[in-house]
Amino acid sequence: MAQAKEFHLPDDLYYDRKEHIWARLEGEGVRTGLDAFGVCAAGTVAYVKLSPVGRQVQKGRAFGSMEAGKYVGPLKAPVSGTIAAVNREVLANPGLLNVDHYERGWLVVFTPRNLAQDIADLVHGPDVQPWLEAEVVEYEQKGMLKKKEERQCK
Amino acid sequence: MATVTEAQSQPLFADPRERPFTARQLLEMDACTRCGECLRACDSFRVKGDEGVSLMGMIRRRRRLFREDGSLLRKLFRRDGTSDEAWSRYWEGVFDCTLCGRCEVYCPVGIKTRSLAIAMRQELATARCMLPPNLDRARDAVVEEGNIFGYPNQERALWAEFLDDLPADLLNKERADVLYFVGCVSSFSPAVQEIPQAFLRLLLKAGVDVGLLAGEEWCCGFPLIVGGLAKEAERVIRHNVEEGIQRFGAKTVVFNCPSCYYTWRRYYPLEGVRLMHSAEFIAELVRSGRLKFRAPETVFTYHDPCDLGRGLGVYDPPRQVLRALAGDAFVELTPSRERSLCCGGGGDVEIWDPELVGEVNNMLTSAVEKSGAQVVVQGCPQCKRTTQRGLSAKGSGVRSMDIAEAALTYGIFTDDAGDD
Repeated sequence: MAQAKEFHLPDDLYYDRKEHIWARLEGEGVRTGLDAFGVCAAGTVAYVKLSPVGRQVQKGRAFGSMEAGKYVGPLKAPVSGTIAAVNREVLANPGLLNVDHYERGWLVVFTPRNLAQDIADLVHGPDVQPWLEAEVVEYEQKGMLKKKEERQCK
Repeated sequence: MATVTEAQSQPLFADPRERPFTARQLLEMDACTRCGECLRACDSFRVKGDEGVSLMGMIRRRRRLFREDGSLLRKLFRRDGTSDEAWSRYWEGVFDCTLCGRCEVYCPVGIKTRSLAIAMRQELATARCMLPPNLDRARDAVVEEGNIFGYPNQERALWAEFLDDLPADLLNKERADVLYFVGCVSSFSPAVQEIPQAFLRLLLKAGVDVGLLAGEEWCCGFPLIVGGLAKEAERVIRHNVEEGIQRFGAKTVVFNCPSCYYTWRRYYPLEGVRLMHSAEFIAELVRSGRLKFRAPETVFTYHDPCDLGRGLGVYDPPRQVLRALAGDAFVELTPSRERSLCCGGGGDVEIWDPELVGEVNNMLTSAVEKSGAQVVVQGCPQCKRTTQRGLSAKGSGVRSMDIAEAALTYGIFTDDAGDD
């Protein structure tokens, strides 16, 4: 488990280094969600929309959109593939993203197309810790993250 | 008459560094009698309590700057005009205005308050480089990505891709009679993406040959113009005309966003192109008898968006739709039409002061609750975005719905009524 400040990122997951989308390999599928740091930077999530099951999405293209206190915009796929499952619970209750990032707050499951190639540039294992630390510093310097005492992030 | 191409060779907007105000606007500033009527109409003033956010206050501060700049003593002693502090105080007020234009209805000497406030912003932002926080980022987002949020513009049609029943060829159409110009807020904000989804479904049900520009639709330019950066809007306006009218061949452009609609009607060099808001399109379907409604057991009210109502005078079409939809269960808000309250989300204010947006919106949601309606129908994605947030924060049971959503939910097309 990587940790910087109050942010915990399991190092068995794969992370898109810019979008803070995590990917978990589960048999034939890849489950995705937003990591603890990304959620905290975005703020309270108010709305989420996700593409329907069966839709094909390329890596780096949007599979959904999200509106939070400090973010409005697309959620980008960490891998290419077909959407195999959509989390209806998070559509009905987007706040799950803020409170249970890695379990009930997952977003979609992809059936990947080029998995080996697509995960090559995702952050994983021992690389997660230094990347997370650098992200915290950069976001704080750019004022994209509230001060620690003002943050209410898990 | 100039063709579109010829018109584009001329700059659309004057350079505020050369002449920030028109002769009429200078006269208007002189004509202000400080009667304070505009204060009664100003929601930002009610929230902030600072006269400088009202037109009267803005004019007073700007007149003082004129006087100081042109005083004989200053000229004799060759002092540089005015103090930075005086400009800063003036600037704060000008950028806390939501540009709702409500004060224009109240002004007894007929000052065109909204265009005067925009000219003031032009002078500050463009001629004096006094931009409010984050407006530079919004400007860069529009210039670099083509949308106000700064997200990849190739994802602009994502809201359509969320539909299970999206026609296969819709996003690949290269020509269509009707162009649906969706706008940034509806395209990117999941809080209101049901609006373009509903309006697109209505257009398709009505058998309209409709197309989208998808990633080639750029911001209409409205946030730049009202932010005081009109020169920067010329490029996006030119692009949308080239893509939407010249390449796409659209004869009609439809909108669900009143600000996009306003911008196209006021600032786009067009000839022979019909422009329509969704409320006008739906009202035409109702008048022609093609769209009827199953009577819902719900009380509806309607909130006039500033750019659609005061901006363009579109008051009756949405009411024609709602009277057909709800009959006696349609109630007017107090106030409504010309005196309608602002949702707080106008004038780019959300970019630098989201708290002010919420506080202004609080007055609207209070009026909605007082009306006794269970549904407030709106005709603007930004109004819906702010209002549903405000209603939710109050724990209100009133639901906000766009007019396209209401028409789709309760409407029956007479040519396929048997299918339902």
